[in-house]
Amino acid sequence: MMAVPQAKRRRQWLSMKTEQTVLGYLCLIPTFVYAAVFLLFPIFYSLVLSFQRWRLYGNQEWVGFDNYRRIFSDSVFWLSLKNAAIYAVFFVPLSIIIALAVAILLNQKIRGMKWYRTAYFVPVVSSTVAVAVVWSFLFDTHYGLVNDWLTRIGLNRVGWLTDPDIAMFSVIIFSIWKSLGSNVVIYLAALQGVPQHLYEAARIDGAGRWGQFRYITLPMVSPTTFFMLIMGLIGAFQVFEQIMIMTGGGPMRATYVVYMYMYDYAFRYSEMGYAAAVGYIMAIIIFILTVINMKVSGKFVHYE
Amino acid sequence: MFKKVTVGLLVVLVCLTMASVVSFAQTKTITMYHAFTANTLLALRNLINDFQKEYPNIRVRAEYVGDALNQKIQAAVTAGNPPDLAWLHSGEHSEYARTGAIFNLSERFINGPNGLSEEELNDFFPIMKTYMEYNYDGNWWGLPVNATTMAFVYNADMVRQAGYDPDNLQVETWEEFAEFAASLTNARDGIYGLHVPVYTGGLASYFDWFFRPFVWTAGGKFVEDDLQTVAFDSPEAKEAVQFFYDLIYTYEGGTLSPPSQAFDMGKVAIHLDGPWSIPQFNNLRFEWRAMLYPVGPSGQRFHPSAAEPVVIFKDAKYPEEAWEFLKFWVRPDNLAKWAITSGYLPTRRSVMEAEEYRKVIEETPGLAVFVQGLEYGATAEITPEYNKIVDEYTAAVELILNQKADLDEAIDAAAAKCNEIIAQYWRDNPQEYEDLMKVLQNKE
Repeated sequence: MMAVPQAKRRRQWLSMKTEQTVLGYLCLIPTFVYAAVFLLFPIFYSLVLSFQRWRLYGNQEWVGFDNYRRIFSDSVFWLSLKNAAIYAVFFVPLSIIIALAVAILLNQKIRGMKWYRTAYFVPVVSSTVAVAVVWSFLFDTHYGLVNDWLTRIGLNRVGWLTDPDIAMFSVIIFSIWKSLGSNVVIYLAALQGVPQHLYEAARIDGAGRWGQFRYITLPMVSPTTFFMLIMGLIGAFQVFEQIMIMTGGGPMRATYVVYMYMYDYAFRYSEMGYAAAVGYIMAIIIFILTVINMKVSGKFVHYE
Repeated sequence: MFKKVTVGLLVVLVCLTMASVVSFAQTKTITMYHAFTANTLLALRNLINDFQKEYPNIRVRAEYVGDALNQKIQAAVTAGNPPDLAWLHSGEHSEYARTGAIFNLSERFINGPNGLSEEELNDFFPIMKTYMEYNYDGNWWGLPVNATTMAFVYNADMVRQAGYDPDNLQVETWEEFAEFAASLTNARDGIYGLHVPVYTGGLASYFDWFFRPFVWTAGGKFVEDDLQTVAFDSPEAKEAVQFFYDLIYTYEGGTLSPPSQAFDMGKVAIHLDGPWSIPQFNNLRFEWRAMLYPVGPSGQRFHPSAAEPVVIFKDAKYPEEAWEFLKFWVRPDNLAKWAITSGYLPTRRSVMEAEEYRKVIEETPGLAVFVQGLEYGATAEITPEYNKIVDEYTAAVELILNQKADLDEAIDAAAAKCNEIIAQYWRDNPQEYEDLMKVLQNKE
């Protein structure tokens, strides 16, 4: 008997619409708190930090653009940026091309297709550190399986991780293998979204397999390609784990990339402000590259 | 009759109870914090058992506080309730000495009537004293219970095949060392005398242990005494790099990139390692021995070493009892048992004469070399911006040893960069420089 007047009173106090709005905002609070604590605060705080000198212990001292000035005058920074660029230039297009090729193969109606798709996805869900250790063994100059195969067919051993001219490419091979599964899944989804009637029409017009690929498949999956280009580029400049495990940045700093440089300054040299400044420089570089990508994309990306 | 027996028994019972109460009241319990695990923990239990047999009125409660040892101690000291003693990692006692949390053992105990004689103090390896000091003040702020150093371990089977007697190896100088490495090399079969590690980044400190002693034995230094510039660009220090270059390319006795586990697989004959690896060496398929770092052009020999102290806190409940325990711990017979069970090197020379330890050395001949190495123990110079400096140096040496850069040019360029790094550091931290200089004056 008491419940009815209470319910009435509540309705009088807040309208239905307001009540839903308030409830909506209440439900959003955890997300807002999460974003504020784990995203916005670190972003803002690291920006402040990049203008400070802070060695983890002691005071934080305001130094203006001093960290940025020091970074730009350090030859090791430029070397690490060059190495990251080399990695990106080879890794991004190769990983996209190979993923598209594999996705096309996996888009056929053949037996055991689910097994193949799962097999390609296994590296994605494996721990980078664990599989990087396995690949280090595969690439071992003396006992590695890869060199064993090479010597069996009469070729010389290659210093996959010890030759400064080769080591970066070994890391790129690993990274392509590691990321292939996720790229293939995305391409598969895109391929399955291409309307079959387009291929039928092309076949009626006399288009061959290459023609169908060039004029139908490629344009139709171009938004996906663009997405992978952007994500690949961002990921490429952030490469760290596999290099840390496989080469440690060597030999002779041939694989020493920007994120290793940042890691060293943050955790080995205890210069948090400097490391934060490196992070911001990288954020700006990646932002500029993404903007350029988006400008250029108009010429090759086709939206339905 | 029955009444008399009952009364008699009651009297005995009361006396016994009284006696145990009195004895319990006289027992003092001292507390020690530590982070020992595995064999070292076993060694500690044995030590405490032995101690309590001799000192039944002192009970020792050893508290394992794990990786957070320093934080726990700091918290306890701040709260005014520290343990009576604590084992510390090498070099960590300085901060407690500076803040006045621990006793200057020399003043409080060692020089007193129940202290240690000059003879006993001189029985510790000289490097132990250096480690136990604070700011080079000549005092013992802790007593060292664990020591460690590095040595060149070699495959005795390969050495025998090369025509040497592994139990009577006459390899003393740099030249002899290079010739020895060359005689063990068979590049065609992928077998090398020595692995010259050219690690950079996080592993650069290992490389540093490898190279720095050679810089010293060449008569050079890593950093100048005024800590304003590096000294690894001196002709003597460059000689150390040249030595390894020659060892690889002239003598053909070394490799920069051996296969993984090369020493274990018999692909590399000589390998720099510490005594912590002895249990693994004992499981190898071949016999192993060890040799000291060779004597360089300066006529000297150096071994990078470290020592771990046990300290007594000023706010200890029972400082005298804690000292009694610590004194018992560093007695040669107890240190021998401790070293045997824990696997650490002994901190005193006379441990080598203890029968039990002699037996262990007979079974593991290489162990004696590690202990002997402590005679030549040395510590790294104070190096501002240590990681940066070592990274720059190792990067230069890596280029040189891979024949990608000229020795003089690469070392000079690295030195110039390091000098800038140091100058920047002192500009940012002038007070720290001033404090350090005061400390270094004590050293002189």
